[in-house]
Amino acid sequence: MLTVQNVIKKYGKTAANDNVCLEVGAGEIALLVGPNGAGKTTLINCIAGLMRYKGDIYICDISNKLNNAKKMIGYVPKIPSVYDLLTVYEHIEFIARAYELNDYKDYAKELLDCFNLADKKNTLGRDLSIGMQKKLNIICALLSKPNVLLMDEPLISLDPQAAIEVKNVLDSLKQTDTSVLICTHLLNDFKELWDRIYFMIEGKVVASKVRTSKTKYKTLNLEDLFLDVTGQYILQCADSLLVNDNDDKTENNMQTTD
Amino acid sequence: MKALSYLIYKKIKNYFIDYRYNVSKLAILFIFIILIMFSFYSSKFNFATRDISELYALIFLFYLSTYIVGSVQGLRAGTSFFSKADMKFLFASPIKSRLALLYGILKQTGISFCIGLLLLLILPWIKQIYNMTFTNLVILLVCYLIVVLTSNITAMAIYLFASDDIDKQKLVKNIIYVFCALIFVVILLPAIAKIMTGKSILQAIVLASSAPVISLIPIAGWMQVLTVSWIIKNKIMFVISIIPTIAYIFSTIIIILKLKSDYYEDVICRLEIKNNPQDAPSVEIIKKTGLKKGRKSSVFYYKQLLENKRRGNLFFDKYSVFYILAAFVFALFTQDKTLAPLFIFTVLLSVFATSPARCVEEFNNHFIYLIPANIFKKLTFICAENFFKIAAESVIIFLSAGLMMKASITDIVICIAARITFGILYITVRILCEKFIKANTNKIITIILYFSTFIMISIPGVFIGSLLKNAYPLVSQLGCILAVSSIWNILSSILIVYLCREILSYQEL
Repeated sequence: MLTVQNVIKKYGKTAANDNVCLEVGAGEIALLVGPNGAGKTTLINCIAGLMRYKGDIYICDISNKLNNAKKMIGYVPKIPSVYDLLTVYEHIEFIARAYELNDYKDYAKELLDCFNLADKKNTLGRDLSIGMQKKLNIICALLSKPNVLLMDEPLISLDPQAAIEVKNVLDSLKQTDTSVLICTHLLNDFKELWDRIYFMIEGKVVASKVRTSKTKYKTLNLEDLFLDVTGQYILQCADSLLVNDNDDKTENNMQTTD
Repeated sequence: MKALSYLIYKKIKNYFIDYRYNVSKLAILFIFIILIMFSFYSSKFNFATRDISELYALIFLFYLSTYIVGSVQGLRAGTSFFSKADMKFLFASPIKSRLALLYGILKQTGISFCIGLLLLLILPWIKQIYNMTFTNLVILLVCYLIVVLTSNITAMAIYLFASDDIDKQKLVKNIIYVFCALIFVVILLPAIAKIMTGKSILQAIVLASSAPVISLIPIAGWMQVLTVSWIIKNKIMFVISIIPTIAYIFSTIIIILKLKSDYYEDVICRLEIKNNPQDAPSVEIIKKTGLKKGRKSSVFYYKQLLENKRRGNLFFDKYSVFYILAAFVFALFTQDKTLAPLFIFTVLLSVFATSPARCVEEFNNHFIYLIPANIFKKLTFICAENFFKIAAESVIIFLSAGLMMKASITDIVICIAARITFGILYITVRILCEKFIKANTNKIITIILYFSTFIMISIPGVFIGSLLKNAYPLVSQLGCILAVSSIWNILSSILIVYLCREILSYQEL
């Protein structure tokens, strides 16, 4: 389970994350969406423990700053990153050794087959295409069977077959109580998987929705919802500017939590 | 042609305009000018003049290495003449391919010559130590430019000839190997003969590198003769050496023009492979695979060993080999002195010539931050490979140089230990600097930052050491200074590692 409380991350004076709070329960898939520059990748990086921040982030009630929490995190970066001179399978061995995994071979084989990398297992990282590197990053993130899986644009660069596999894997992770947080622009690709959706604009979570049953919102077009929320937010910002001009103080609250 | 001249003109113009807005570039220029001024100023001190035949040998070796390294680029990175932007704009335009080629050669030559301007830093020293005039220095630079130009033209010819055929590449490789082997034999055999007659190693190498047969070696030999003939004012030799050079340049250009005019496809193919490896026609087949050792943080060390193996390095990489060779050549020139100049040289050279610290490479990948292990252990293991390499380099250099200079065993051991501690300090300084450097910081500024921080931190140790240099009569003054410096370096390194203990907590430095 993932809990983010009042996270503030600033670059100079610009707040990339401004008092962000969110929660992803065990076995839930949460989408983190928002326009470019909203602070989604920054938040994912903070949760992964790659960036400093103010506030609290807990992985199964353990602060993500502790080593025990790191063991429970799987992370797929937006831009894939692999070691040039390690083969695909050596990456798996590397992760297994670093995370002290013992019975990983069957699962590794399963993942390699699943992502069509079995025939590339002796290929060097530098000889992999961007898409294959992404698949390898996903395999490395999944290998340790993390409690919290963070994915930054997981479907970008993947072929349609691999994208379907990723979605199947994510669906299966629900049974293992893994909390998944996905930052993406390809909203409708996840329309059947999501349990929560958080809308981020200008570093803030401006709206969120919780899906209470699998059938609910089945026909909801997430892209339309996204445009609605962002459009509303922009209008609201414009309104507040006008209101401020008139010296009339009005509370703005746009939470659309279901 | 108008478009190309416009492109060149605009590029040069914008390059200089950029100085107004780019503080880091301006800082580099400023530092470069200061270094040249310092170099000219320091050359005013009275250095003992040396035999000029040493310079002739050095010139030959310098030109030879520049020529070979430049020419070999034709086998590896023929695309270095052209950028991705060239591919998109130049190749797609109706500009003649041969003119585009000329543009590529000019561009590459300009870049190489700019790098060669670093020679300005040592020219005052050469002027003073070998009693050279200013015009002689200019000739030295001009000859360097000619060597760079010819090596680039040769690289292009090799590229056009062999880029699309593995057999042709093998043929060119074999020719280069034979060429290098012949030069080695031409220098080495006479040098051995001279050593047998009682000459020192340095004298033997200098005499062998200045032998008449050297003047027959293309480009490097001809340019050496050109420089020497200018210095000794021998007009006949000057003309004799310049004629084959001009002939070489023209004949190579004719060969280039005859070889292919449709080289665009080769360049595009190379660029595609470089930027999109998935389009590569073939991928390397790895026979032996497996990460057999390592657990938690130690897995990084074994990973680095595996990467070294894949890079084709048995133990030392090309930087280390260059470093050891440079130190050995320096030792030859200073064998009549103590180990002190060699020690200073190796420490300073290590900043510029050793391979990029592996720890810094690891910082670029997200795995190091995610892996749940003790940070100090992770830091230690990613530095371990560097540490062992430094230790091995130190033993090889100071043991061989110490025995050659007949230094005491104590001094040799202290030099080895001190060199290792300076190496450790340098690694930790790099880690410290990483905390302040942005990912896209200019490389030269980064090196200057490393260098200045390293010097600032190590100087107090040397200073304390020089105060205590007579404290132990059993140990030489050099030994005392280095021993105290070593202790200082170790303490400073521990402090730096302590201060940077959080560096692996966050990717954001």
